[in-house]
Amino acid sequence: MSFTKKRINCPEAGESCLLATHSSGLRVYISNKDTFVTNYAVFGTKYGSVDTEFGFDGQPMLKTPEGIAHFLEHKLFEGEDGDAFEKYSKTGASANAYTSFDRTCYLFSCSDRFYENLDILLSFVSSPYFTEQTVQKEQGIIGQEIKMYEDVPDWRVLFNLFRIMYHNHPVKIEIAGTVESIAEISAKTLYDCYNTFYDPSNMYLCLAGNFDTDKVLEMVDAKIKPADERNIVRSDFSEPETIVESRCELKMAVSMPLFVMGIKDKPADSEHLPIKKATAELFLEILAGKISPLYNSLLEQGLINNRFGTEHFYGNSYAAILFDGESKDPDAVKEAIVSEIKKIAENGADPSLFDDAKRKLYGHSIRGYNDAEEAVGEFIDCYIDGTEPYADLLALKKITVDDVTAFARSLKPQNVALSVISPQM
Amino acid sequence: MNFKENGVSYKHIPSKRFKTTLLSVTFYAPLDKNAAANALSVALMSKGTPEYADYYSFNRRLAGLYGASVTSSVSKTGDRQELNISLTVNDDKYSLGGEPTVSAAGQLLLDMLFGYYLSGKSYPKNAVTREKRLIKEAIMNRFNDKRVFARRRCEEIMCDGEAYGLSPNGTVEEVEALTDSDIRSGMTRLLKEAFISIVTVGAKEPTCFIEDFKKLITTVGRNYHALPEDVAKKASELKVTKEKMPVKQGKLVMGFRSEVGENLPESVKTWIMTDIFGGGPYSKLFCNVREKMSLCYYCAARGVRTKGLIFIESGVEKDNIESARTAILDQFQNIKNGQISESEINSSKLSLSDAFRSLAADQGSLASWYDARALSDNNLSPEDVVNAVEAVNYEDIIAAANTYSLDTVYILSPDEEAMKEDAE
Repeated sequence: MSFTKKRINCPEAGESCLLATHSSGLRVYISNKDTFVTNYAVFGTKYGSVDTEFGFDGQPMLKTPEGIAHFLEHKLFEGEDGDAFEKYSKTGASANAYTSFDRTCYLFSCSDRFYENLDILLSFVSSPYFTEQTVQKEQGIIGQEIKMYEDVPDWRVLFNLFRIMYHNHPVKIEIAGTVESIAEISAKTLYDCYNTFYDPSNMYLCLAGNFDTDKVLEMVDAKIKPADERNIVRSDFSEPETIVESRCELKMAVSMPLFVMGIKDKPADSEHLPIKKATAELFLEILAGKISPLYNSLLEQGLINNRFGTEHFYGNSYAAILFDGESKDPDAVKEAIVSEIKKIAENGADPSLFDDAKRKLYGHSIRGYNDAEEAVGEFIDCYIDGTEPYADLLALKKITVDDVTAFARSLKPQNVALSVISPQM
Repeated sequence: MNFKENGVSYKHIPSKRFKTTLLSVTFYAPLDKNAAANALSVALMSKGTPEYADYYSFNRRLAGLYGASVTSSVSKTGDRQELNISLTVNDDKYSLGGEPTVSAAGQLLLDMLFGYYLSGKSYPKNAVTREKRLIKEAIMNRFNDKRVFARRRCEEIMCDGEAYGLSPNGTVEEVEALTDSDIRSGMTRLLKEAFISIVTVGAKEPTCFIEDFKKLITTVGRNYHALPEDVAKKASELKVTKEKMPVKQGKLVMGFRSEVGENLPESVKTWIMTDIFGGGPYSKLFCNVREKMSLCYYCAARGVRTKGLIFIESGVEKDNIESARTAILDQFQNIKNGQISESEINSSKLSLSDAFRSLAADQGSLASWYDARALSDNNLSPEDVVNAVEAVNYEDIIAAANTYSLDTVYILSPDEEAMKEDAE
């Protein structure tokens, strides 16, 4: 078998995994434990809604319709020899797929017949079958899905924010595209995208469960064939550091205003990403987590409720910190957050709060390894981010209170944007 | 140390597969006019203790326990109100300084449950105001997600006059009117009269926690009121309700009734029938109404078996609502007439068996499973139910379907006039 293998251990969490790189370039991540009762598998590609323009070294760039990565995900389930769901229904596995900004993942979980399910997964993702007729039928189904999202206020408020934060970057386009954009998709464009991004050298197989690792690697070796070595060139969207507008508002049928506030940040490269992620997470916990004075003050003033949350949002050439929730006065919440950031930047982060935040996030990281799905989720992030498993936990231990203060100082007040959905009636 | 006495049930699920210990306490009370007071009492219990009275210091304490997390939920299970407080904490061996976390978290949970009640103290005014607001906003919030809104409207209309038709949090007005004395009554009802299920899941049984719980509940003095059985009744004359809202996609919810209410293991035949109707991607609704006819993006069935209810929920274009309604009924009639393939039955059995076996992968799912078993007074393991699934045959499925009839149709369609005005 042609694999380069590397075992990675994390004694703090009592975890260990195998990273095996196949001669085709496919990366296989495996967490194998006899205590797992379910097996969880994801076969995916580094291809998402942001990859709208691409090409190969020395060839002209190809521009594709918005929403095509998601459309391709739907179509791949349908093979020449039947539907993948039909095959899974003969094994009892629970199967699904999803497309996000930077990835498309095909997954299953099962408590039995793991190898049969893995064979189905590896086979259908490797066997595209698109015809004009099946593409047309899917346009109807996805059209319904798009309409459903148009009625989801949480979704609308988020993409409205991205539209006022990003000038050029396609992170601002809807993952499923629009009814108009998907109408432009043909079988040929699907094959163009498939042949570019579903190359083993741009893909990952992440597995967690209780199985025979050698047998899994034998199956991969037999199924996955190397393709010609070609370098995918992704468009550089030359996104400015500034935002487009600072506020937008839309009316919908909601009971009280919803908001997402974002602060545009500079993206980090792979080498610095684990430290950046850990710093941002600690900063958000100290600034607006449940242990923070700000969170508790906003709660007491009646300005936020149980739905308030924060996120470090990042990907290929974009990064931001986000705050979302419901509030009778979203602008007041924004002002309070901005003023608290200024306070941390001026006075430094509170060391005792920093200790509690670190302890809390450390505990949560350990807990993440409770289940197979979360273990696989970390592997996928590692592939997409170009980092190693357990790097986030190790980075967290290294962060100091001064790193958090420095992060607060790096945020620019002029890069704050607020998206609001207010009640229609 | 498992026990069940005087309306209090305790079960420990030993499992070495988790790095955490889960301590889960669930109260079951009749779903009635006291729902709002019960909900507020549990919300307050889950957010503080007399020692950590303000939410800020309480959260700092949880962070100190390596981010132990407390969740609370209020829902309905049949005609009962289900109120849960769960605490998840990392096992001692993952502490950086080797300090004990599980026993400290257990003590904190006991203080949350009993601290205010036994000391006779009242919750701080600001905490009461805050929690009332949060519950009211959660009640109003259901309006935002149209899928949830449509389902609840159908439940309300269909089960008007029954406990299941009520909101598990009560109404905004009921929450608003609650006083300190209502909160004390709520705590009394939960600690003295409700059915209490405690489930712990982890590598080591938290014996100190459960021993102390027993002592404290004895101090409270139980006056357990057995819960009334869920009511299942025949479908009445068809009710059709149409409402409009400024939305892009319509919602169609159809409620079916049977006078046969069941518990596990008898209910597995209805479970399989509902799954073949509108469960997995092999189901009749998915394969026909969604895939072949392209009538909706989602179209799925959900059963409340103890009450003999099945709800079909779908997201449909306005012009397709009537076609979808006919297509859904046709598919159900096919099941009643026995047009079910062996492959549909096998797919459903395999999928449900896999789902039951997979429960053991998640601490919360295991706790919910054994809460429901404690309530229905059987001790079936998920594996026992897998055996019951295998025993179901073709005739059982048809017989189960034939006990159900359509009772209520709820349609939420786009209000084009309002949307036009808004666009202008």
